[in-house]
Amino acid sequence: MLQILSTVVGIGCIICWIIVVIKMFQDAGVLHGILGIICGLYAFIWGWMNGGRLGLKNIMMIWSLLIIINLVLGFVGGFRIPYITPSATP
Amino acid sequence: MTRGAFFSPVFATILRDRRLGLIVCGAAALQLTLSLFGLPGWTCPVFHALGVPCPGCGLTRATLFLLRGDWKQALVMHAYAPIFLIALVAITVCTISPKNQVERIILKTESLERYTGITFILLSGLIVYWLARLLLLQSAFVRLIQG
Repeated sequence: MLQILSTVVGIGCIICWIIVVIKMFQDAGVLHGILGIICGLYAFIWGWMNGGRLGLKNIMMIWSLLIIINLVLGFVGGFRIPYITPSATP
Repeated sequence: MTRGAFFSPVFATILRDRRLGLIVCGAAALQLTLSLFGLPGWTCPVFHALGVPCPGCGLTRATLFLLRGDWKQALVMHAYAPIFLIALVAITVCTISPKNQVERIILKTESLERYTGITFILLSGLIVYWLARLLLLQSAFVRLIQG
C-alpha cells in the first residue's frame, strides 16, 4: 500500500518538475532549463522564486505538499520503501 | 538557437542574485546535513518515480565523500562532485561577502561564461557522462545510486 502511494506521489512530483522545467526553458533560457533537469532541487527553488510572476504558485504548492507526503511516507515506512530510502537522494 | 543562447551567463546570474544564492546555499547545506545523518531529504523525482537515475543523482553523497577527503569514492559516486563543491563555495562566498567586493568576481565569471561557454560545456559534459553511465553501466549505476 505504501509502495503504491509512494509511486503515485513520485509521479505527481515528476509532473510538477516537468512543468517547472518547461517554464525554465521558456523564461530563463536553455542553460537554466538544463540546470533544472540536472538538479531537481534547483528547479524547485527557481519555481518558488518565480512562481508568482509565472503563475506557478499552485503547481509549487502541490509539489511541496507531495514532497512533505513523501517525507512522511519515508518515516512511516522506516526508510524501507524503494526509491525513498535515504541513500536515494540526488 | 544562437550561440548566445548557449553561451549566456548562468552561473554569474546565480552569483549576482543574493536571495537565490542564500536559498541555494541553505538548501544544499540542509540536504548535505540530512544525508550525513541518514535522514530522508530531497529525493530525485526521476529516480523516485521511474527508478532511473537523473544526471545529478549521487551528487550529495559524492560531495560528502569529498568533504571527508575520500576522493576516490567521491569520483566513483559522481565525477562532478569537485565542480559542484567549487560552485557551492563560490555561491556561498558571493552571498556572504560585501557586494562591492564580489562584483569584480561576478563580472569576471560573466565574461568567462560568455566567451568560453564553460557552463554550456560543463552541462553538456554532465549529460554525456550521465548517458555513458546509463548506457554502459546500466544496473551497476542504478545499484550505486540505490546504495
